[in-house]
Amino acid sequence: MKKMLQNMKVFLLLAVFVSVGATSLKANAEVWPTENQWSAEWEQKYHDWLKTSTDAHLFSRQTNSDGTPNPYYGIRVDCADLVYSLRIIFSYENKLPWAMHNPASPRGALISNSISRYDKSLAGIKRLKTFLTWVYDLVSTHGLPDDTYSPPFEAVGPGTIILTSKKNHHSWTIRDITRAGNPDLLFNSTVGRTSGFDVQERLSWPNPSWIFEAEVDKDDETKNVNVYKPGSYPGFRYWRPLDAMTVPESAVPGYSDEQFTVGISKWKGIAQSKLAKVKETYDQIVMRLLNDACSDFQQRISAVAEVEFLKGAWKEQAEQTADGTLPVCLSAENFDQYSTPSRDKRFVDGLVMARVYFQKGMKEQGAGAFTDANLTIYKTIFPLISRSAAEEAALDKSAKSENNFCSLEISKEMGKLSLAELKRRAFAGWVSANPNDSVSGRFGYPKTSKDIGYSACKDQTYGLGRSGYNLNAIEKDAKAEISQ
Amino acid sequence: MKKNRYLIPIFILILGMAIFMEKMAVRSTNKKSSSEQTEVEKVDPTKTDFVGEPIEQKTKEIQVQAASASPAQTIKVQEFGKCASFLKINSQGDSASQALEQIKSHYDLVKDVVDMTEYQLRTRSNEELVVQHIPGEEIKNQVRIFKTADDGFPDRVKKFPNSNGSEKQKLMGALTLGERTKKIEKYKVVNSDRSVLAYEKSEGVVTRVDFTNGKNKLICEDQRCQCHEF
Repeated sequence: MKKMLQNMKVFLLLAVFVSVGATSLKANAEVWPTENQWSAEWEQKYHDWLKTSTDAHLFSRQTNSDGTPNPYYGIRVDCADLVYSLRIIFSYENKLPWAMHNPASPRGALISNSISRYDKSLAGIKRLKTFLTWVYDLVSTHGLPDDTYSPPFEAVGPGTIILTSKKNHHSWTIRDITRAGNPDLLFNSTVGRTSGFDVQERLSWPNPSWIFEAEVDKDDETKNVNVYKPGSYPGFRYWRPLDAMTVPESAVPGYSDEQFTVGISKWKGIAQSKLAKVKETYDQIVMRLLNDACSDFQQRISAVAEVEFLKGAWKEQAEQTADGTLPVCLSAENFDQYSTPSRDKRFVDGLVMARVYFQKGMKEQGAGAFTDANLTIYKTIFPLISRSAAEEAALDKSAKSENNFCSLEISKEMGKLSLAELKRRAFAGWVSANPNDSVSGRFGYPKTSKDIGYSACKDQTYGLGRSGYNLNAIEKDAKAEISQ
Repeated sequence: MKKNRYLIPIFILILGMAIFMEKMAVRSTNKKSSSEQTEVEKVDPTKTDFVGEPIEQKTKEIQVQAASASPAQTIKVQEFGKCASFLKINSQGDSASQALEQIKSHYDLVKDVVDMTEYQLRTRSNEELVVQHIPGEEIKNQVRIFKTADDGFPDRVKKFPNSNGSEKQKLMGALTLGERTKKIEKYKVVNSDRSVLAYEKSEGVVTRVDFTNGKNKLICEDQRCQCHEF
């Protein structure tokens, strides 16, 4: 009798399993079920969720604050992937519909959470992650304009996307706005084998001249195509309502081309002034920009370490082969991933902007505008503040101590480098963006025989190299921007 | 053996109940999704019920649904003047190239700017591939290959001949994967009056014109032009 009862239990469990399993497969055929519909209230919840539930550790923390496992741990994303991920994850968690244009199909065909191709994989988070992996293969900054529209300044806030021109192909999501009207931006995963799954965060507006930088004419590379004009795609973007996915962008409710009518130099100032609740002091602005530059510096160290690891692996591999031949230059794919021309340009732009604010603060309010401790930092980084950035670059010959603000270890062999010294080298044009160069070359030390960069690999620079910076032009743009 | 006598009928009974329960659950699910769909159509006509379905049918469905369901999204066939007063074309005939010619001359667009070139290939195993070449895009997306899966959706093919090479090498490598059945060049221009002109040439022949002027859209396709107001 006892055995029979045991058998019955087994059969009962089996029957329940068959029943529930079959039912759940049928009921969860879509990636996630749609039980709610987007509305102003849900959009507000999305903005609140970005503020409270996302940060740089969204994919890198193993557990949430309540101790539960983080289901999104271990996801790695590029900039377009992250923009889509945030919207998809919120839609998934709240059973909201989601759709994007199918990039391989003409005529506005859509891909949505209702597709059934993953109905054989387990429902819930596993299915979502499989879906995300597929979506990452499909999305890019090129396709983002089709899924979004240009909003007015007054609608800019958490959830708004910032997209650059195709020349720079980058995108950010605003997760929050600071009291001073600066955005807290989230973008792609950090590069680096040891850097974990953090995404990058930045607390300043990107340079508008970079966002709206003219595209190179594809037929004549000596000419440019202006992309700052009404009807164009860079700048602020927001998700199209699902019932307006296929209408002309100008017919999307809430569409505005206001951002294309104010002028590039006023774009950032207008956005910030509309969002600011308090005015930042000069000291706060300069320190914020230097902290951003310090984050960029840290990210650059990871990116350089990563490519050095790759080169080391090649060497090991070559030593095991008969002829011992080493690959000399990086492939296009690797070059794109590990070269840093855009990152370096942003770094220099940010430092020039900090310098312009420091100069303006000194001119208008004197040294009293800054705390003593900060003033010492600023004077070390910008030692000739009464002169132009280009003059400072030419005249500042003395290497800066590593015992300074934002001093970071660039490698075990090379030790530490301060932000002040990296800035001095970057302004002088010594810092190489080319991943074919050695660590020392990448950080502006004198070049060695290992720095094969542009000479041996000149055919493998893939058009991404930028040599030196026109500091006068960058400074002029920065001054124009803050005078608005 | 005596004990086992009860096991088979009990098993059949439980299995029967399980099958009955499963059928009821499926019926309930279908009923629920059917009522949800009605609700969705009422509120949101162009949404979830068609997104995610096989591709080619979709555009027509969008238009039919939009036309029948929501006044805000109603697509009206208007006179071409709504789209652009300077257009002098008929609704049928050689309209795509005529419309394009007129639009281009109106805006002094003498130069074509290719946004993307798409190659349709058929492999030896009769698979359909789409190769997209997007000049100026970030390197990993300059040349993208998609295989059309059984469900009609694309799967990205990441490894292909020269996939680690330069832009030109990648494109050449991608085009070795099959026989080219079609080459479509896609152009996009934003005009000075904010109108947007997008058009396609298939093997050098204008096959589609998509001209957006405010909330009006002229679409010429299959030698037929329609002006829509959104």
